Amino acid sequence: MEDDYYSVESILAENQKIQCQFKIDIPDMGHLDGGNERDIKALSKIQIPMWMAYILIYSDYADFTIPLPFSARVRNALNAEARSVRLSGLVGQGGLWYGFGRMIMRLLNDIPAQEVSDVLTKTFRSRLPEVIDQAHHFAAASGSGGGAIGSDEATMAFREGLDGTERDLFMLAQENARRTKRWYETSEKARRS
Amino acid sequence: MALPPPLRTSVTPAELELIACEQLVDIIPLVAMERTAFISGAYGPLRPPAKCKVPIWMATNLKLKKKCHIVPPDWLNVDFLQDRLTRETSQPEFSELPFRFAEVAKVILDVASDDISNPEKVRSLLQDIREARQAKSRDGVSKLDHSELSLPNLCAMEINEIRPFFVRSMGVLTQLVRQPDPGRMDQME
Amino acid sequence: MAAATHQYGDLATQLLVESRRSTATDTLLKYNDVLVRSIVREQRQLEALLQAALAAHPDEVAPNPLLPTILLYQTAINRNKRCLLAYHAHRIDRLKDLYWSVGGALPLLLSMPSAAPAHANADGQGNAAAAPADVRSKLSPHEVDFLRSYNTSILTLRTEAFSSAASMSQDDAGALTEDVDLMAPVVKPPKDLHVLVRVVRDCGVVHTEQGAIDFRRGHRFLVRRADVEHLIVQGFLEEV
Repeated sequence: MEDDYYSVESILAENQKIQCQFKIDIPDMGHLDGGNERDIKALSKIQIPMWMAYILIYSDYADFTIPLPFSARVRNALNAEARSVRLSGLVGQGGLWYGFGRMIMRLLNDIPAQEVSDVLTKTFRSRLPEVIDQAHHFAAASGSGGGAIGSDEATMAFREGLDGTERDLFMLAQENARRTKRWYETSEKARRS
Repeated sequence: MALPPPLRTSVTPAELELIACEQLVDIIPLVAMERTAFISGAYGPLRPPAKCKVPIWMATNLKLKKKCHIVPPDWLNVDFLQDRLTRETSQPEFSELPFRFAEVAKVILDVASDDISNPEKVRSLLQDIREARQAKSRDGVSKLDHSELSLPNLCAMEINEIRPFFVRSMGVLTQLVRQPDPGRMDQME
Repeated sequence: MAAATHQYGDLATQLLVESRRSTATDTLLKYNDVLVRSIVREQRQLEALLQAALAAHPDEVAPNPLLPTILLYQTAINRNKRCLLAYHAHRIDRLKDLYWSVGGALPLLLSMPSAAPAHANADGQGNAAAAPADVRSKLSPHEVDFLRSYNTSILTLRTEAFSSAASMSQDDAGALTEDVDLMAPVVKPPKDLHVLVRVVRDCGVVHTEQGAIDFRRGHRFLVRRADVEHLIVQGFLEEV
């Protein structure tokens, strides 16, 4: 997932909302929370999509609270056992937990940003070996839904809990392993009559 | 893009095989041929039963038409591979193997298995070696860093298998690891 | 605000959801002219609001109290712009992929059915009526123009850089002895000089090294690869 200007995934990910608390009045924008107010009053809390939140926070018009996917509870669970957390359950459709974290990180100051960055890297690195293991197993048991290895509950749960970025990597590894395996099995002799 | 989608993530195994087949191998020709010029160079003359060095693609072609016997390269036999297998299982690093051993071995085993002594054993040894190395490269994943990763002695086919995955993961990690930004933002939280 | 757009950026999001769906199902959807136009309209409304806000407090020493509002309008405008650009860039990428996958035969591309393959005529132009779901009907006029000029550029490249005839006039270092065929398929390295093909659609008489061969549907032929590669890419022949 890149920070590409043109990347469709990036743009749609920025639509995720975070909770902001406004510090000042903003005239004429009352429709943002779907209400009938004409203006936004100071101290009101509204859910704002991230692309709009950037400018508000940079110019110090609002504060935001760390959203649910990165709350203390989640962090503790990740610290304990990163692989058992279902990342796809924490974020909306298509789940891009890492991408979300990156955007939050950019909004924060030094120390909290470093914490978030550490959480992200640690989680990623501990889940990665599991991702590649499963990818190779599923490439080996190609086709018929996984055989004995994949029907284990924990492995299935893990795969459903993969976030979007991890799912991409999973598909990549699996496709590659399958392609190589297929190549090993092709035979020249079969071609010649 | 001009490059077709299957080729975009990495080099295909078939392409690697093509590149590997440029290597020279010994053959015992059964027919005679004059010294002929090809795009990659001039090969021949073929004077049976004297040995001659030709590229693997040519050897394969001749073999399939039953016009030669292929002499397996000196690493493609039971003893050498057995020794390497024991080294793989006993040491944590990758043992040394010819860079394109997987492709060359597959091609030769495919067309000329009758020219190799004990082809079944050779096949199973190659399979074991491959699995042992795969297990090691999976361990390498956990040591993944955002800036560099060094896996010495890895061979062409194996590199190609893990390259897209590793490169992507390193890219993701680079984005997650925080670079110190001097004087960016104003008060927050 | 207009009842349809509850929030700024909603329409733009719709547009991009289409893009994502197009990638997921690997098809090219119809150019959503209606949505694009309404987004552009929204942009103009935003611009009008912006100008009004700027004009409301001209030339004051103190900062404009409407500044946050102005900034938000600006952000919304930029957001819409980014979404529009991404939508169009995405479609152009898909068109380029499509172009190369048929080996650059533009008439074939434009009349190609974009859903399941339909039974089209051999002369490539097809009947627009017989294949109602053809690619051309999904494109906006600008996109068709883009394809034409892209095609022209590639042809220029071929004749100037990659053909042996043109390079004769250059010095020895740059001369090519044979045409480099840009459109040749590269997915699988060829193993053999000849290839066994089955004819899927009639292509008429083609000159090969074995003389003129009439390719009729259903027949199989063993021919030199170089002679028939362009037909394989365009789908007239099928490798067995």
